[in-house]
Amino acid sequence: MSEAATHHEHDHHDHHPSGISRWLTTTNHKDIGTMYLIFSLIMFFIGGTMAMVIRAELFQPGLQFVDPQFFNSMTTMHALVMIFGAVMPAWTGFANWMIPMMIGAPDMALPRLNNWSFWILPFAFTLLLSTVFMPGGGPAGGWTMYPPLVLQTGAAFPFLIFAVHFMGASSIAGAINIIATVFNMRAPGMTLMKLPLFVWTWIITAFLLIASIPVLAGAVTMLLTDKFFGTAFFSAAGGGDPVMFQHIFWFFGHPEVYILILPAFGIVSAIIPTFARKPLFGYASMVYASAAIAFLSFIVWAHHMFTVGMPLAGELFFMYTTVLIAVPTGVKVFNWVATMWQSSMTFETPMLFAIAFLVLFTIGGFSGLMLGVTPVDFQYHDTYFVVAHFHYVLVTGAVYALMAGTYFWLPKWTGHMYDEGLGKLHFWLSTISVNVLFFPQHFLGLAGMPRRIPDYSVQFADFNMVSSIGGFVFGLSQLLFVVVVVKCVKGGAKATDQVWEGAHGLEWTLSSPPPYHSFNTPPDPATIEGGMR
Amino acid sequence: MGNHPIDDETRAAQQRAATRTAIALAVIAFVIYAWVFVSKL
Amino acid sequence: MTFSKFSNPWRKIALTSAILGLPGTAMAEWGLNLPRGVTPYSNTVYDLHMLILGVCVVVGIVVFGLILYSIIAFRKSAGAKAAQWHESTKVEILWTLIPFMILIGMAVPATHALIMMENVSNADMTIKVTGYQWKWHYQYLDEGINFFSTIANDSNMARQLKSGVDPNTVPNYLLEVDNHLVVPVGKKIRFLTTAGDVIHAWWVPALGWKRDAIPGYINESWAEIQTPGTYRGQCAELCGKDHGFMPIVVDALSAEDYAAWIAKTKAATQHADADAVVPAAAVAQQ
Repeated sequence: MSEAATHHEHDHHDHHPSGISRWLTTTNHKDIGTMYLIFSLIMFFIGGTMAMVIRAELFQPGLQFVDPQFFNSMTTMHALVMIFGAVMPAWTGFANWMIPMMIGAPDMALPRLNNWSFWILPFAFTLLLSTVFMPGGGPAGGWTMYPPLVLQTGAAFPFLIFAVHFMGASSIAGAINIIATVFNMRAPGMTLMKLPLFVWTWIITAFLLIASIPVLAGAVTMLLTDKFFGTAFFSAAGGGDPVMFQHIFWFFGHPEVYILILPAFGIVSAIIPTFARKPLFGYASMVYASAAIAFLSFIVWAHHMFTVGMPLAGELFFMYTTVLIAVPTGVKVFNWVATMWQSSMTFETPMLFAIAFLVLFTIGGFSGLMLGVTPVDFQYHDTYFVVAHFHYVLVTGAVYALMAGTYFWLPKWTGHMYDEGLGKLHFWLSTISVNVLFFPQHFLGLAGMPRRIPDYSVQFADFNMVSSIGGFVFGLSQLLFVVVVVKCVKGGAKATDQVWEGAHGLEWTLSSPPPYHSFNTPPDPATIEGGMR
Repeated sequence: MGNHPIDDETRAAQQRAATRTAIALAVIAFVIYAWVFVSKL
Repeated sequence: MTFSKFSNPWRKIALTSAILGLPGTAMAEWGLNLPRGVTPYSNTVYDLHMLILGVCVVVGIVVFGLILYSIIAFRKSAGAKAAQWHESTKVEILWTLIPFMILIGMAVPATHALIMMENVSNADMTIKVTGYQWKWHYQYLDEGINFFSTIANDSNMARQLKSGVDPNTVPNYLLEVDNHLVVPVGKKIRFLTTAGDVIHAWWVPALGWKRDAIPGYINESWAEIQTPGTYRGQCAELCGKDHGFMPIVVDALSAEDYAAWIAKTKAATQHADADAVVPAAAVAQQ
């Protein structure tokens, strides 16, 4: 940056508070992004610890460590923490850090709302996690909270409901901020069809959030009134319908899983072209395919409920729409592969995670396709086959993309290169162990092991032991990730502006780290036009 | 690399537009929330 | 000729299904695959499962093969230079249409299978299954027999936290009950599932399906068991702390053995009624 421009920056906002006050009151998208990411990493380890409890109990048949009620609260809380505390806030953290820079804007459109959106989360999770210590323990009816079972939750019940309300409010506010920012604050020359895929997938995700989170909020409010205010929305005895909850929940729940994965598609679409030194294949169809996935995600929800006793016409409809999602998803996978074709690749850690995503997410997609075929789903539903499916798409899908994005942008955020050797070690340990952890679960489900059980009959023992060993190694390997991140924040080889030879995009035109306030002056449209080299 | 800075008037117009977008989306979210109950009463 | 996805896809599917089909049943014995089961429906489902799995394996081999090839051939360290092309409408249309057609190819047999499953008509007998926390209740609507079915005592003792009992010493650990559900082979049995408290699900993998048991609902399913034997299953919907401890055991008997069991069970029920403290007949006379 030239001296004159630097002076200009300092004139506006030289003084910001330091210490705790800075972090409590900041409206800066980089600070807020950092807070989301640190929060999400902490929650990832809390959820991960719960997973270790689960895998420890399932290591052998018989009950060795925990009673069944506590086990059920572990599976419930593990999912709630990972979905709402780790993955979603991580995506919001990436959005906050990267979107303003990617579109040439100085900050998010609504900076104070942004601060509030973040700070709701530690409050919400304090509420939720405190239930583990209450009489009766934490909620144990599954993250899906089906009534009537969830209404048997004890003292934890209102805390669960309020925590979900707060997490939802945070997500909606974040989504509103992102749409308002991208629609109104783009630099001159940054047209919609020049936006990086990460921005596009986040726009679509934000619309999904606004349409679906209020539905979740409605559903849990109805649970609250059924328990405390004499309504009977879901009680058969009172003239209500337990299955209606499932419809409402999954109307939220299915778009939710696309909310969890769409930003991942955006990240992979940034990383592969960079390390392949070749433009993304089929930019326009990637945008349309993402939009098609989002649209379809609203008309497939009952595939989570195939065994509930739906009329045949319903079962057929949802089967057809569900398998149809394979088409735009396949288009995206083929486009990534085509980007790699006749390219010039190097395999730094972000690229390793992105390629692993491509292969392993696709495996998750295959099991998803199988699950979508209703007559066979009657065997797979509520077994470990489902558990294998969603862990492939969420761990080797969403979490791997988060790791890839972190390694990709850490040098930009911190100004230091991370330790490549440690990064690669983290990658290989994780990838081998994650497959040892989850692949055998396909077999367990096919062989007849139901999900959400703390103990199992002896024919399932071998694969459970293997899976648990994979789990312990995978869990420990994530400590390496923390080491890499902390070490990088503290120091490392100096990062250039562009960092990666094949990197293109407005964020790579800024210094590493970028100024606290970037793009107070918008970028030159010629830079945008020229492909941001 | 510098263009001319965005002047205060343009910035204020952007801010107003962004706020309008935000309010519209918040209303949509609230209406969806309310509709979930009302349709089930 | 290369095994690329632009040559005849149907040949690959048939070939792969045949290759996979051979060890498919063996894989089920090793706990790797879905079992065939003992009903017409379970066999239909098994075949459909193998078809779709076959399609996924073929597509996977092609896609992962291309990725692996790229990683080796298009490495900068090997001197590869990056092309800059990034569009091809023709190719995009092809790889949109071909998957779409593969899906239709799968949807047709799947639709037939689903119609088969949902056709509950002309049943020979009906059994009402009610899920409770944490046991099952069975009622033979045509015979006037009913009873609870709860996890066997030895399993229940062994599964307690830190019981010190090795599960391997318990026969059919977690898959044994006090009262088996006894049914005849070769008859179309209609199952009505419901529940008395929270949602449960009744699942016997050998029959080929599971169905939710929901309070306030009565769901219908059917099975016609072709092979006599004992078939075990479990509750398949989280229903509270002992969700993992309410198994299902079905004994499928020949027609004669079933008739004998019915007679014996009815006699035992009447005997029990006669011994009851306040006989129903005595109450009615007062």
